[in-house]
Amino acid sequence: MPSLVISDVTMIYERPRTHERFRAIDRVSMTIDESSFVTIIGPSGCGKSTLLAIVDGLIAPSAGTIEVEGRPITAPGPDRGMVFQEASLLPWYTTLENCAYGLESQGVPKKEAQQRVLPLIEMVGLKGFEHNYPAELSIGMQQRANVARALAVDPEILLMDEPFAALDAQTRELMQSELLRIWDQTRKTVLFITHQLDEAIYLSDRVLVMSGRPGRIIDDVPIPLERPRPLDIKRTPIFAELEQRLWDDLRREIEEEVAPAGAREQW
Amino acid sequence: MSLAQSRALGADFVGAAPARSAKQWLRDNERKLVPLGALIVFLAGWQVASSARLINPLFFASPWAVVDAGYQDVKTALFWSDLRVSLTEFGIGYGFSLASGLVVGFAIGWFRRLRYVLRPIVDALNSIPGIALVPLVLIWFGLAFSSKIALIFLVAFPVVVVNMYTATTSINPQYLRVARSFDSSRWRLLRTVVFPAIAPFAFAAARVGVGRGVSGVVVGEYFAANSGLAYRLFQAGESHDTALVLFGALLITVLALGAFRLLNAVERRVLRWRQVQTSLAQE
Amino acid sequence: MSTAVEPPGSAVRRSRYRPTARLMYGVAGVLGLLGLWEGVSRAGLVQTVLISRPSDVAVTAYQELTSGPFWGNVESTLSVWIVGFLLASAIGIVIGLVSGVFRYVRYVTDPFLNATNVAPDLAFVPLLILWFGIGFRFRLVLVLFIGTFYVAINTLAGVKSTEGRWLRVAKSFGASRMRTFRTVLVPGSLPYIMTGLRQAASRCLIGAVASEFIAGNKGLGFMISLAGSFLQTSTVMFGILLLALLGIIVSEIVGRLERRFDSWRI
Repeated sequence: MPSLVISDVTMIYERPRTHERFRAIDRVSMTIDESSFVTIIGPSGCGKSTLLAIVDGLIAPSAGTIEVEGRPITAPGPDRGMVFQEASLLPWYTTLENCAYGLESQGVPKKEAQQRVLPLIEMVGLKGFEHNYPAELSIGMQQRANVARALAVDPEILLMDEPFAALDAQTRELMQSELLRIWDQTRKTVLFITHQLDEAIYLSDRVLVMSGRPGRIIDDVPIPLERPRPLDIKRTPIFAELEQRLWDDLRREIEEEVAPAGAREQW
Repeated sequence: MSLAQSRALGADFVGAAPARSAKQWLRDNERKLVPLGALIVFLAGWQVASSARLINPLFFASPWAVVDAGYQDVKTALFWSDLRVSLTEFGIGYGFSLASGLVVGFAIGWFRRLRYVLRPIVDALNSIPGIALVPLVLIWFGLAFSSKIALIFLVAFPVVVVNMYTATTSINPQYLRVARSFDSSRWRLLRTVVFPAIAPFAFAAARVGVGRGVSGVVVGEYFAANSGLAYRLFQAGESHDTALVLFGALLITVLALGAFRLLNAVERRVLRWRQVQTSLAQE
Repeated sequence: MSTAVEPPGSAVRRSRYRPTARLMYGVAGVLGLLGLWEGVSRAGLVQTVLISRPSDVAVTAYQELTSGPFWGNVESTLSVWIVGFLLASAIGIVIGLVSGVFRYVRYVTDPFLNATNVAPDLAFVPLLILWFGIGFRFRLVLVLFIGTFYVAINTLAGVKSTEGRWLRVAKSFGASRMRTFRTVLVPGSLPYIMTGLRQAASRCLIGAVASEFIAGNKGLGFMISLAGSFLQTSTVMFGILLLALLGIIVSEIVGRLERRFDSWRI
């Protein structure tokens, strides 16, 4: 049974004052298998984050359905865990308390929740920082805690919304490799969003390319690279080929954003 | 139609607003309608309770009585001369405070040594409650017109200065670096970078100054006047004319609100770039 | 991560040169002003009835501080202020939180709070006198009136600030309304509540003093206005200085508390 099935999801937004309606996402469908790592890439504003929020149950789509393990989705639930983009650890809780937050929200008593979370904190590499506050952690560390928090509720699907966007290039590379290490130990189904092509290819089994507004899936690229993947796999010819393919897909979309038809120049 | 062509038309555009039902309109405007409704209910209840003698009319004049008292008052010539007096006091006092406050505040923020010398003094001045200055002002100016101007100045000026120097000292150094890297002269730097950067704060300072200024007028007319809107208010209080007191208080509040709205409107015109910036951020 | 307000680069340069220079200039400025003041006064350029000499003010200060009635006045003002402030804080926080949680309540309180923010407090004094007479009750109500609005407005702003990111996190993990309130809304609003308390503290002091000016027979405000009517300028100036000092101290103390929570903001 596929882990996640998205069928014909459409999202229509209304501008608050003029009440004009715009389509953000246009009949997006995809089927995602269990334990697979799937990334969606696309130009800014194409609706990727919106799609993720819909899958998480935070927003209701204008049309279409989402099914997780065959069950339709209408609200956030313990079967999906979200890792947000910006620092979203609650600043008044320690790392330990933050990571246990999801579990506690489900009714697990505090002591037990914290106990269950400790090994996860170690797994993401934050051992020793359990009692620090987010203000004392670097962004990379905060994102690790973010991941631990999402994993703590043992979701079937992990949703990640550009989690490494705020990191500098080197930390980002490291975190990508770390993420794969962590993922390898739990093998959750992952739906990942990013702007970076190399990140998408490096991490995933499959990359879906989304168009600019209104967002549609315009390409589905399987990534035939073997796992485990060392970081220097990024400098192999086959990696470059995949990057080229994705870039060609995206270039058209980005050109539309920068210089719409009528004002176009050859790049 | 290719993707490129449809995009040029705004392919994500679905359609114009569909016809709104009455229920939808109610929901859209509920933020304004609910308080309005609550206000109407409140006024109606008050009026009923007052007419039914449930409330002592001495303590709570009914809404109708307030309106009536106001109407009677506005018909008198004295009202208008008092209004003129108060507005003049405010205009001169506030205008002077704002002009000098902006300049001094900026100077304190910009010139380091000046800041070291003047800042503690200005901070201390700012902590003095306006009303405590009244006896001093009385000793200096007596009941003359200038005493109110002085009072307004003393309460509004420090606040504007503090706002301005805080703004000036917190200009993003990046902006300054950008201007300097293009080899701008000092004056050009000020004109093209510094002043626009502080402009929003200047308006904020102006707004706070209005609050203080109005307060200064009211305080001044309480203790050191024989004319003016607030003076009328206090006279009404002494003769236990609750309706008139309520009317006066509401009138002053409305005028103050008006001044605020005016400032906001001016700010919107002058700082149009800010509008664009915020709307872009939302895209 | 520090909560320093100044931009990062300046810290290094400031360390040795600035603090002492800043202090020196500041002290020099104040001393210079006092010296000038004293000098101008002694030279007969300004009548002492208008502005007392610093030396006169110092003498008066000593006299007052060692007299019994002065401290009675202090106690009177302080008691109105503290009781009023505490009550205003409690009521203000409740109003702010309730408005934050319940949408329809907010629709009513938001415009009301914004309007009263602008209204000059003193304009409502005759009304309050009519309702509460003159005495402790009136003074307390005035202080309450002023303080509650500051606390309520800031608390509401605090609740509004949690409405993006944090609320989304809680919702994503399926937290109940009560839990969201307890773990996100309240801690998130705390920095703003502290700001409100700081503002309310100084405004309540002003209110307490103001009430004594208008209708009192006790308290620091009364002391100042009485001295004023007898043209005892040095007492008036002493009183003003004292109030300024009190205001600064209060701001500092509550301000410290406020800064402790700065790392919780947005």
